[in-house]
Amino acid sequence: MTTHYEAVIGLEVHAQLMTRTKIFCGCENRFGAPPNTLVCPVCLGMPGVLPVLNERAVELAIRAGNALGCDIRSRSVFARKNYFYPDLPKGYQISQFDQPVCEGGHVPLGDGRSIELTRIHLEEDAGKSFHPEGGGEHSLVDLNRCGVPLIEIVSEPVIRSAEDAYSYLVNLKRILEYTEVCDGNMEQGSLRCDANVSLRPVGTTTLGTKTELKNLNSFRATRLGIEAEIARQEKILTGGGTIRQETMQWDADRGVPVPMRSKEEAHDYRYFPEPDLPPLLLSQEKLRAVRDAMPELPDAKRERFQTEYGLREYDAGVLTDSAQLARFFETVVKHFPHADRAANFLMGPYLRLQKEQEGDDLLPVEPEALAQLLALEKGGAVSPAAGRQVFEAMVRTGKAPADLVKELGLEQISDDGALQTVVDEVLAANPEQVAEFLGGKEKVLGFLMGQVMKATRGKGNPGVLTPMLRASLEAKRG
Amino acid sequence: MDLTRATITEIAAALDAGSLASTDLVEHTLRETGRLEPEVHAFLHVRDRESLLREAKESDAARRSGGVTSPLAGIPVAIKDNICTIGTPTTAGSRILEGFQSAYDATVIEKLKAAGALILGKCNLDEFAMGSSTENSAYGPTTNPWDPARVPGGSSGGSAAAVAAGMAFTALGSDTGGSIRQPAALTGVVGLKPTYGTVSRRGLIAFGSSLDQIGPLARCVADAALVFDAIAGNDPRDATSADIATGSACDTLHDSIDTIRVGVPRQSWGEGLDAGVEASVRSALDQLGPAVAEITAIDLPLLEASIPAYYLVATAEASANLSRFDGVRYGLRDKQAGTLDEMYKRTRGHGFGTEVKRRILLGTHALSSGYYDAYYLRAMKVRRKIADDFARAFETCDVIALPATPTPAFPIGEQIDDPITMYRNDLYTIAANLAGLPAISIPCGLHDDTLPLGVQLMAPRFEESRLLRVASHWEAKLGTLGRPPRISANGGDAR
Amino acid sequence: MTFDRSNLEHVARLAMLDLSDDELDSLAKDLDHVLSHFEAIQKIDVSDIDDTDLAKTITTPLRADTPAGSLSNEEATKQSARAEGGLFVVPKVIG
Ligand SMILES: [Mg+2]
Ligand SMILES: [Zn+2]
Repeated sequence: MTTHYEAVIGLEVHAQLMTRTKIFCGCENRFGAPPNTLVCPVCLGMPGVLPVLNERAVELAIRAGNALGCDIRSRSVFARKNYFYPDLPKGYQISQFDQPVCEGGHVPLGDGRSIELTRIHLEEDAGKSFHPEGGGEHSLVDLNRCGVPLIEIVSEPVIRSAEDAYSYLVNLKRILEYTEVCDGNMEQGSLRCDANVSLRPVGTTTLGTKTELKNLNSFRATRLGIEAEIARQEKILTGGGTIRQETMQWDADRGVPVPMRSKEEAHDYRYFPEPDLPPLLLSQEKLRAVRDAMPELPDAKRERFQTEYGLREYDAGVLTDSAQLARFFETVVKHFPHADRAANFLMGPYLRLQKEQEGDDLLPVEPEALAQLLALEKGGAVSPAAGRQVFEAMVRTGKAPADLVKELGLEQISDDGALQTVVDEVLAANPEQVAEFLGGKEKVLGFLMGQVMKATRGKGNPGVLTPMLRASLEAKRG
Repeated sequence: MDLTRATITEIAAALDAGSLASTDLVEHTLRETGRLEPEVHAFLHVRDRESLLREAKESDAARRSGGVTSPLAGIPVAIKDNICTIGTPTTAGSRILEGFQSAYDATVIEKLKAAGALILGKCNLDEFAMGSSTENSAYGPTTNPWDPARVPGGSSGGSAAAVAAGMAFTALGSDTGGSIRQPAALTGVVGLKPTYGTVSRRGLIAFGSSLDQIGPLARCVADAALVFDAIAGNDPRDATSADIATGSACDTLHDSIDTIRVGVPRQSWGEGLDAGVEASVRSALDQLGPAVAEITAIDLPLLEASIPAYYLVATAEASANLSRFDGVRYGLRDKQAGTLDEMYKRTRGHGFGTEVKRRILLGTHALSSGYYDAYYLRAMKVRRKIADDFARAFETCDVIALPATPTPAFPIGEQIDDPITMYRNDLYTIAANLAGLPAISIPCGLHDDTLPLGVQLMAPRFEESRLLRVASHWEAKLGTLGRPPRISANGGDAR
Repeated sequence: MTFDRSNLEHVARLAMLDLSDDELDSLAKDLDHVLSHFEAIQKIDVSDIDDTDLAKTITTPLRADTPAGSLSNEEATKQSARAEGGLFVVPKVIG
């Protein structure tokens, strides 16, 4: 009889905070600058430098704690975590250890369940080392990222499946984006996930030996990586083997967890209180100020979208699924105050195109530009069908909708004479359908309308055409 | 005017009167440095004549046009070489920083420059300020101007010797466990360690971050007060800098001390205190007695325990502070190393001297898994108890007086291989660092008529004014020692 | 507690210090000697101390989130024993 195992998973998520500057110095917190151009004596760990804590980083950490239902400690303490690595200039990372800024809390999984958190602590990011292809014996070090503020969100080891880990991450990312704590960009490394994975026989409660799985830098990698690691451990255990406590790296290309160089001895980080930073004491006033400045959370926003814009629950849910889309929608509505039409357009042509482009990111169109397009449509300058073509061109070219309408010759035709000619032509070309309509098949009207729109290249004004088509058909009854 | 002995107040008055120019000060200093440095070796770097004279001329011109307000304007100041300065090397006395140039000035340097002072050069020290004799410098020891066979104390031995020998008018040192006061005592000058948090540490190459303070070494208490006033003050770039306005220590220097109660720890007269030192300190206390309200015995029961508490806390912090010297971004790198770990190990193994390695290893051990509670944490708790003892003592006295060192200057080489004996030199100074208190050492005579001795005062936190006031009155009774006769005898009085 | 050569080798590895055989012997002896002297603090009653923070009421000051400028790449890398193309070059990082 084979033993059945259950997985015990804890996640450690590092989220870069959306500050303007680094956590302990005035260098900009910005992605993509040329190497070693966002560095100063402090973040380079030059002799004699001292850290000074960024107020915004503290506020964003508290904000994350509020959004996730944590207890915010009125006194938290920074500590040095000592280890040598070329991307860690001081030879220690300033982090928090036994007195983190937030404790407890939970991340909802979206289905009513939630995962408890152990803590959230503030710390500094490290730089980056590269191993150039064919670079031989050397690595290159860029310290621009060094000192970027991070929160590390640590879950309790209570996640039982890769699927739940995936939901945890999706929901956590959504909340962090919503609260403008972190931009959630996993590709650029703003949000990074490590998983601690162990297995134990079902029905037992002691924890098995865990491995730490690193480099889970997308939702997909998180699910696949954890699945593969569970499978790997299960295979070893069912074969009678034992799990080695080690750090694994998820190789997304090969789809396997690969052991990182195993250290002969376990790390001894020699944490001790950072003597360069007194404890962080948070007053009630400060905590209140942060709470008052909290951006709206997803649930509250969904409800408000229903009451304020009169949207249906489902539509409000779709539009508030991501903070960016919700913000986009609200900006559109600010410039084009017809929420129902704006919502329809976003849920229809907009999301369809976004899906076609296989991205989670917003399309490269400004909400103001979309509002202009919708206003043109509303004012009769362009038909909805032609509007979709204009929209696609906006995404492609970035040009203004009014210019594109002209450039593409998509001005709406409302002229009776011109449209009557088209209608007559379509009816003449489709005698069978005309007969069916006259025989009582109302549905054919839609087909004929489509033919008319096609003949006008989508430019015909449906408000004029619909009654005109019906009148022309009725006229044939004689 | 005898520029080897004149005080800053006197010099500033002569500069204002036009009977002396800043260029004279530079010429004097360079002449004396040229004459004495081969024996004393107080400096690791003296700035070039042209730059110094240019700055002196600018200062003289500014003074003529009425643009000078600080008494430090136009006065060359020597700087311990663990304080970062633009435009000179900053080595901390270590091979690992040979040729290193700081990209910024320490806050104290910015403040000195703002006061119009000239940066004369960089003074020798025990490597990374770790030592009590300045023998641990990678660039050779400094000798005591009173006896070249003896140490000047440390770690600010270069700064102390430069002032004692009359090469510098004043100097900055740093004090983690006595590194200003002990060399000041052993070379016969005044040394002030301010309250922790009073002088910015930004730009001071960290040894024990929770203990380090920059302070002046000076020819007299008034000079120390002048420099202290110039460098003290809140620095938003140092999170441990106190945001407390303490006022000018100079202004109250001569106010009465007749209500002051002086406490003398019974533990001062314990084992290891040289009989000559004891006699000298007791005699000094006798001279102070009539000027103050009372002198009473107090208790600092953990004075002896301050040594292990200090060496465990300081080295634990140092073990992390010195991790940045890894050969990657600056400083020495071992280029033979093939792997990353080898590069780290060889760079650091060869770049650091023995005492620095000893302390890194001790501090690493004190923090390591399984030992943290017994060593680092326990030492921190003892430290806390010592601070509480001081708080209790200051309920019954206003300042505490005690010896500055257990012995006079000892021969070079005598203690270098005996860490425990060497560490005991700090017995009377360490407690002030552990408790964050201001403390000052002033000369109290000569041991066997040859070697200087110092007596020490401590005050509650941020009470520099009180500390300096009592020290100034006491100094008036005890007199200053002046320059060692053997140096003056060679001539050298300027003008 | 005694401190021997194997303790020393362990902390030397943590501290990334290459020590010669002679140094290993003499430093192990030194540190054993120092630590045995320091055993004195084990006898001090510290049961009444639960907070080692000397300045309990002082909070770390907070800095406004305003950019204050950075060094140029040239300034940042010019003191390195080896920098190329604006990057610090180190022996290969494994793992
Ligand atoms: Mg972390
Ligand atoms: Zn920086």
